[in-house]
Amino acid sequence: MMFNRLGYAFCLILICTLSLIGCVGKNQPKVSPDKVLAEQAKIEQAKRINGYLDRLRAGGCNGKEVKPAKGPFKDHRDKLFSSYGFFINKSGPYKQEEKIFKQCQSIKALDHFFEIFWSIRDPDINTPENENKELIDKRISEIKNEILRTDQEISGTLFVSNGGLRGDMAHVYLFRGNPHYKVKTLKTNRLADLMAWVYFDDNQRPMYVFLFYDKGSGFQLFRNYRGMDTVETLMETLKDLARIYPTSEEDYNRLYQELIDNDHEYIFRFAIRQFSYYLDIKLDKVLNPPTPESMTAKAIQPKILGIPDISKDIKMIMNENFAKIMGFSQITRNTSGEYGLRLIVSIAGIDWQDTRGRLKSVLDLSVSIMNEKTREKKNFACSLYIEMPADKHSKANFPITPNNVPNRESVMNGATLSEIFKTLPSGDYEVKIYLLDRTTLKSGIWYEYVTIGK
Amino acid sequence: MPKSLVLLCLFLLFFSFPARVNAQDVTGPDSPDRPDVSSWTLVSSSNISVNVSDSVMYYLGFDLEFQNPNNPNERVRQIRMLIPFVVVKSKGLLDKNYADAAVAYVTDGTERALLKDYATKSDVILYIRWSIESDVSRGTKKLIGENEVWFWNASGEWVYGRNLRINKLMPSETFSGFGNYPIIVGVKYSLSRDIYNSTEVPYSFIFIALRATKGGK
Repeated sequence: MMFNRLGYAFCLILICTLSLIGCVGKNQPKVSPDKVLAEQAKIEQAKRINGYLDRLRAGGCNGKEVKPAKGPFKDHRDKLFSSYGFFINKSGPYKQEEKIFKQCQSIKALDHFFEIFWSIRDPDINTPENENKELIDKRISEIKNEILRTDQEISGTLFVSNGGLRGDMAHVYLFRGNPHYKVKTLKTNRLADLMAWVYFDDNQRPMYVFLFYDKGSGFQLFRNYRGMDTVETLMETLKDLARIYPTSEEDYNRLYQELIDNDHEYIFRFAIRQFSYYLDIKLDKVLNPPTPESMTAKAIQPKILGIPDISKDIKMIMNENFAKIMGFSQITRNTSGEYGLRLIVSIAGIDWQDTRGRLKSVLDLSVSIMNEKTREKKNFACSLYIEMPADKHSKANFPITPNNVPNRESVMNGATLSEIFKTLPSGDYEVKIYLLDRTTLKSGIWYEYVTIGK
Repeated sequence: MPKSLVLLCLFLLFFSFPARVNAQDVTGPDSPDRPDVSSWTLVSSSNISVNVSDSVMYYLGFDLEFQNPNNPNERVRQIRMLIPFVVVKSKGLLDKNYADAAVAYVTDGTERALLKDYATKSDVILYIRWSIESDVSRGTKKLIGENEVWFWNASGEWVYGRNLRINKLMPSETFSGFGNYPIIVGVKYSLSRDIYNSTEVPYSFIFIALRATKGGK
């Protein structure tokens, strides 16, 4: 039995040593897509979008554009368009949405269209509700109930008098919700009535400042951001905002004076100059129909690095720990005085892939040797490919001794770990050993302290 | 080289270190078992995480405190370590043209799911048990008796002691191409130079994350 054990140990160590000699060293996980992957992602996205558009068409929204006559179908279409028209894409990768909507031939087709339309905009499919649709429906309800009528800052402001659900006020409200701050001019004669809606960010900076002006036919959004820094731009802007068209220098002066008299907080003059504190934020972008990806945050989802990617087809024998590899480390010194490292781990203490009766494991080892006085470091790294028969799996320990393995970090450091130790000047050293399972991303870290040459 | 000599060398190599089959409790027969908090009330929890930059952060574990439902004065603190993962916020998230409803679902979804999963699939490396009572004269709580500590060493052994001081260190490294300032890469808990438990995020992930966000700007 002892010779069987020795035979097994010999095989295990031989396999480790042989594979260590041929150390490859490429273990950078691939996260950033290269060109081929980027192309693939593009093709998959196009496929996904086309599939979605086909589903939109499937319920009776194909063929020619429909221009309905008066009746229940037209009323239903107008009602849906009033509520959700701002969210239908007219450009970009989803620009077919508008065309397909116009091709819907019946009430049933319209309902099917919006069922698919909102399903792709559901941010969390694990809940029964569609949180985005609920949010928009809530805002529609607030608009219909004239939520701003009794608002403290702009009381008496009604959506119905300003384009209803299709007006600029509703457009902003549907996209951004109730503003954090609102202000209206009180007494203007030559100047149009002005109203500003301000949305602040987490840093309390004005992220969006929507300026509305009413010359008598309802509030509409100010969009001509040319500033007021020159006489010409000032005059053009005042013309845009004048209720009574200015014809003389005196008219312009009066207009400007009215603006100042009604702008004690400097909000209107800020809003005329720029849409946001942040210069890269643009009004048109902010009011564009959001894509399904941006509504569900897919377009801006964070990237996560460090999730083990283990195929379900692979049979794994896992160690009993969730995240850790445990073991012992030792700095050794042979009879010739050469320093080396020995790391002792349990067979059952690491994770194995079981491939038809043979167990395999790939581990990345890195060793950092730091002079405790000068803080100068030497680094060593390599990959370990370990293999053994499946029936040898046990809780027995085995050593890892990478002292003569080629160093992946050899440009600035020694070619092997032994050589690094040889080149170290006298002093006290901290040796950090980091072992990472490349498949399961479990790891172990050990520290040793050694005095060399004193 | 004679086969017998080879076998002898291997024999010495194999048997030259203590063959520990199981992680042994080095605390001795009188040491209490590690606290079982499975039925206890979780009173506070925080993530052990590091913000590398505006757009890069990573998670290492959890710091939890439990209360004994049968004795509200008895508390246990637990440190759990998970497989570290890095979160890289996209430029789109930092683009405020996208801000609003989408933001609410951005960072929460995947991270929350992962953290929920790791709440149980993580290794406990430290328990601290203590008892408190009300100090009427000062209007606050005070410690009764001693703290008990159970610490899981990197060797896999559990170390027990009373009133042990736990040291916490955040090791750092510099990454070439991303400035000369050190970036914290993990956390190391220790009782002494020889008794410690350290977790670090793979440096390649930090490097990739920083490169993807161009240094986090």
